Amino acid sequence: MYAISTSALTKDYGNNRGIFDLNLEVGVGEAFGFIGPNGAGKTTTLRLFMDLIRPDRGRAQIMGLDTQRDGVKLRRLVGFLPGEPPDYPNQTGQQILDLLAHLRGEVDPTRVTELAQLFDLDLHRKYREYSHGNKQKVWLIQAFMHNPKLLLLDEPTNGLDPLMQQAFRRLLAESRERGATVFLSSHLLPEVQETCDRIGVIYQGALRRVGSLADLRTGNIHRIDVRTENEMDRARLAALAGVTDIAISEHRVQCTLTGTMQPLLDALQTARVLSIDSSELTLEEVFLAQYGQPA
Amino acid sequence: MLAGSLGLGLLVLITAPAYAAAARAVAGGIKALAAAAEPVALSVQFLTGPPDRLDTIGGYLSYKVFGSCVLLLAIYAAIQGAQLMRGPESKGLFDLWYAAGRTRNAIIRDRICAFIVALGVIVAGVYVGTVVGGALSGVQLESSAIGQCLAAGLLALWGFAFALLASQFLKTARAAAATASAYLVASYFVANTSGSLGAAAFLRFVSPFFYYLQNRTLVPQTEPNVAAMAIILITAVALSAAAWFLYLRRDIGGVSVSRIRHQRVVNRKFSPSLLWRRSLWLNWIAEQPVAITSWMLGIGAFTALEASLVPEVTRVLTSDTTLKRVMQTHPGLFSSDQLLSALMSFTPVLAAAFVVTQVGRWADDASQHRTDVVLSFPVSMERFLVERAVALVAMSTLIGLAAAAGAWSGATVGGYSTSTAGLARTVFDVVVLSFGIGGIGLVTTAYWRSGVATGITAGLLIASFFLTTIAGLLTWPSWTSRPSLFDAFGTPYLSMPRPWSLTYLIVLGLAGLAAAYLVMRQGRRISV
Repeated sequence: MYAISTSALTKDYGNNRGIFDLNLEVGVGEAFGFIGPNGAGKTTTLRLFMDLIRPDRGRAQIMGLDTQRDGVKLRRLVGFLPGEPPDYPNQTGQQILDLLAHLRGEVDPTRVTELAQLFDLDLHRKYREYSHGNKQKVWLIQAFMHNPKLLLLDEPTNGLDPLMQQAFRRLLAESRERGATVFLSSHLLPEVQETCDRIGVIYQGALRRVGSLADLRTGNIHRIDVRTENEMDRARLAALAGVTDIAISEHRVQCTLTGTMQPLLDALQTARVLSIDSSELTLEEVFLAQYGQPA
Repeated sequence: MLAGSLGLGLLVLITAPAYAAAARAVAGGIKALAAAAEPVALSVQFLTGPPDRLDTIGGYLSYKVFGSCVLLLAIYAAIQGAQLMRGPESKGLFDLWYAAGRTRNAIIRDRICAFIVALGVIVAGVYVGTVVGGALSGVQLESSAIGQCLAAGLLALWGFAFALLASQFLKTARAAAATASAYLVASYFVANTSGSLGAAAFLRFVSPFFYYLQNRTLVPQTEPNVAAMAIILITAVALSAAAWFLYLRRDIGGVSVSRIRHQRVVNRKFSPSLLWRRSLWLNWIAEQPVAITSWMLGIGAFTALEASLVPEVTRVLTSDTTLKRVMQTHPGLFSSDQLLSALMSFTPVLAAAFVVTQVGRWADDASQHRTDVVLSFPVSMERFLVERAVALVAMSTLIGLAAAAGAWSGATVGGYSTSTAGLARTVFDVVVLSFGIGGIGLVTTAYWRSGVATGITAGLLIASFFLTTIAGLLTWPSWTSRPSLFDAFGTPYLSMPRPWSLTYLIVLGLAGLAAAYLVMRQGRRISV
């Protein structure tokens, strides 16, 4: 059984907005990062999982339960952090969490207190008086308060300071130790890079790539920086398969290499290599290379 | 704005020919009709304003439309005044406007100008409606309507300015609108009853309605009272200027007078409540203690005032020789029960207004994503909707009980007794009416998820109210007013509403619930 599985899941808002034919499987206990630029369809996917919107076609199952037919049952198992937090101007954090804990049922009050201490949140202040980050903490607490089997988190560190981001990562790690599955949607690649086993890249409503961090980097993309004794011929480099973004200045060559390195090394021999530096692209650079725009 | 202009214009346009038609149907014409209507109008002048020359179309319009309807126009303006700066502040728009290089002065100036233009459009619509209505009834009102419409516009401007000032001291638009509306309603009653206030009669001078009433130029041979109009205008400008001055000096999102809070001990301990947060419907009630208490106090006080005036109304009616004769042949016609029932005809209107505020909250819940959060918990749509209805029924029971308590207290003060069964029927009918209106509200909020839902619900209620009024005035067959929710409410204090009416309201509520469920199931409108 998968924690999440979808088949041809589609929600079409028109004008190429929405998600289209999403086929995705996330294993139990896995931490899955869902990345893509703004408007790519990340939040729409999460709303479909929570049955807040209905698909035009296709289906989704969460923990073996159909999102539409068994919505109430599956929402018992899930801790959901909405991407667009609601506004409760006249309630205190305590009152909001009190209602949500009662709606959820079987929430241990000491667990809520623990989480409030972890995030250093005064529960007895009005929600409207909270800063952006403190508001986010309320929604993080409600997502984690019942030790859910599946966490669906939409931009979880939005507004959190670095200390609180660290606290969040600790909490996520504890949940994973307990066996929880994590589905984390974000456009912050380092966050996903740090916490997830596998990553799905969504762009313009379509799932473009799924794989481990290593898989995504394979395409084997490297950034190459070479110092040579002699001048290098640009045309010769450009003719090589997999070599792009070439910059040549006097005795220095910089380029991006996709694939094996041997043809490039052969070509560089004539210029006599003094030093060579090769670094793997970060996820962010891979993303930029693939879609030509920041995440 | 357009709806307000069209609505008020249409009302005045319809009322004039309707009164003329009613007069034609009476032996003795308009004079006989006025002679019969005047004692009744005098007895309830605290509600409708003093009648004057009801034997003319102008006099009748001045009393009927430009009496109580200007109160509604002033309250509308007060809501606009309260939201003028607080609305964008609560949405965080000021940061953007400042970032775009707009100054505080420019923002408030532009927004006040925009309101004045909108008010001008509304007043123009009312003027056109008055003139056309007059023409359809065979009278020329072109010049006399100018003064009356101008006075109505100035009064609305006063309400706007007062609320704008109140909003500088109160953090939310809702609180400022409620404060200004309460002042307007109180000052309306003071102006209408200033003759019987005794030592407190001086209070009329702080009521803008007192000056407004000096300008009923639609009443024949009434000249415009320039001094009275100037007083309204000057005080409105002074209030606006004070609000402007304070706005330039306060924090955005803050209030003009605030105390510095001393550091509180941070409390991270979570302790679950025993009652109020245990279910959605209880939570929705617990979320609005001030609003519910205010509505209960307002409706209770209003009904108490109505009930306490029954002996005075009886005295006025029995002093009229024609009516005295009628009472001799129909002894029960003006009994205290009959009069109390007639005076309590405002109760369903107030209850409906309360339900509209709840529909507004539902729309806010949807647009501010609170509905999404609740539905992301193990809560089915059926449960969500049913708990909404349960909360509404519970709150409207409180409203109905407040009205009944008010009637009982007023009657006690007035020295007569009330019918317990009649009061119980009234409470029950208020609940059934609220449930029916709630059904409309549920389906509109499920579909639109915004203020549009509130607007449509309120629009349907206003249409319903007009239908009952116009059908009665034009003596249309009874079936024509059957769709009206207020017609279905009936006169519960006197007798149990017709089974058809109760069934209609209950079916409306249930159908609304079912339709809301279907709209939400379909899912296209659950989230945008």
